[in-house]
Amino acid sequence: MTHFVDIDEVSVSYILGEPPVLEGASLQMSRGEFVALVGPSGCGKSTFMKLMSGLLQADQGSVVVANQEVTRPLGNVGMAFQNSVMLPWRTTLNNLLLPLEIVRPHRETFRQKREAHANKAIELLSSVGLEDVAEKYPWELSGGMRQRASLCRALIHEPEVLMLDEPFGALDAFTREELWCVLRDLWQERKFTVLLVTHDLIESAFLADRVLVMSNRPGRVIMELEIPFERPRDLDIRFEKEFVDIVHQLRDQIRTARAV
Amino acid sequence: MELMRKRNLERLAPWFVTVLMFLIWEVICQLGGIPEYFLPAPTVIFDAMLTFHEALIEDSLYTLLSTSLGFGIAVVFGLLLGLLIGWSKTIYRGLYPVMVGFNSVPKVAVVPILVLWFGIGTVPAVLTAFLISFFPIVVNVATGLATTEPELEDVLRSLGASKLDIMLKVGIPGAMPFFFGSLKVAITLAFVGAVVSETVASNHGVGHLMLSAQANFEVPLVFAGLLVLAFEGIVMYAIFAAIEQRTVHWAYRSHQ
Repeated sequence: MTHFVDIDEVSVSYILGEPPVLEGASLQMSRGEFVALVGPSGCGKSTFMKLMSGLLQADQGSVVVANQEVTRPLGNVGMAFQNSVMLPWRTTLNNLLLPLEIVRPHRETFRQKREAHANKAIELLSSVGLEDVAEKYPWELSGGMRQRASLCRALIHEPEVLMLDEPFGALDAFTREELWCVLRDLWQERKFTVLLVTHDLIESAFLADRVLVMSNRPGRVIMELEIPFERPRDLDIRFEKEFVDIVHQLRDQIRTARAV
Repeated sequence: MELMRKRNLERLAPWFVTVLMFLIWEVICQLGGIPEYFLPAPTVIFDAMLTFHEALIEDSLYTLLSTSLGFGIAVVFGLLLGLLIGWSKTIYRGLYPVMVGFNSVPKVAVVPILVLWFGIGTVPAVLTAFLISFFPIVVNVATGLATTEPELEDVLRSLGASKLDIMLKVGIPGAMPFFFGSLKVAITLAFVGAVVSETVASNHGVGHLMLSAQANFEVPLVFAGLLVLAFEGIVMYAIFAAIEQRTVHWAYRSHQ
């Protein structure tokens, strides 16, 4: 069976002569799957994201998304980072519309359809509880609000793949939990394919269908774990024994990975 | 109430300091018995301003014109060159040493060459104002472009954005605070350039006026010229500071 995302035996080194960041690393994802990638810092988690989005070409191996070899940025991906990177001179609404000004085929018709796009953006903002801040500037929002808006921006052009690089890393614990649920509900509703890079094992186990553990540099996927819990999951699932066991298992793996 | 008083004090502070400076100056001149031909007291200078107000107004407008022209060219040229340098690392590498070298040359040394090419008068003044004021604009625009956040670039590139898209959507708007910030510096430098050139080679302008006043030993008029220049500089600075506040207000509010 062909996978929606098929990264096969890739190696990447940024600097010639330096040890590679990824070596013989593989990753497969089905359409609509939620995969979390965890591992020691500097193990090349973000490099995987860059490969998948076409921002970076592998030195060896192949990257295939939707039966298409990725050789350049595809446009059908959304990205969000730890830092919300909103444009301070644009209102939240106009920040959300940015991808539509860029991505094909929307960019050609952006002006004619601006109103329809704006309505869609406001609808999306409402779904994460931000309907009131559309006309506010990003610096008038709290960190959690900005991160929600950043998620919306990543989704506005209805990408098939959503890539999240520690999107909740800089938030306080309560806001983080809130946003886990926001992401959970968005995914439940739209079923996009997600690659979530995170340091937070509880986060990975709570949100993902499958958690992949990476080794130390040069990075490879050394273990994967199916997360069997029913969806939609409740936040309290974190305190059940099976959940705690899984988190323990992940932690042990990472500890071994770091020790190598 | 307390806050109000503090705000008022803040607003009045510049006037207060300026008046105080003139007062101290006056007192030192009066009590110290400093001769007028060495350092005239402010009252003497104001008196000279009244006496020669026609010439002062005419020449200061003349200087203002040369300055504005030179500054205008510097803005256009500086912005374009800054964008070019910010666009490509190779261009940046190639041009930077030349520009730094160019900027290190004292502009007063360039004036004779300009006179050789264009004769004395307005053209060298305009060009000197331009030459001295474009550098900060170039550097600031290029720096502003360089501060584009790499993650934002990733977001846009992953959507298939071209380099031009990134420049237009993110780079240039993001560089605007740097650009407008540099205008405040550049306009005051442009005054320096115009006056330097007028002093060396012109029959008009405040620079020329001050030089002739000095030759005639009209020391209060020399100082009157200086004050007029300072005044013009402050007004232009204030204008560009206000424009900056209006156009890139987001860059200020975000720090609050």
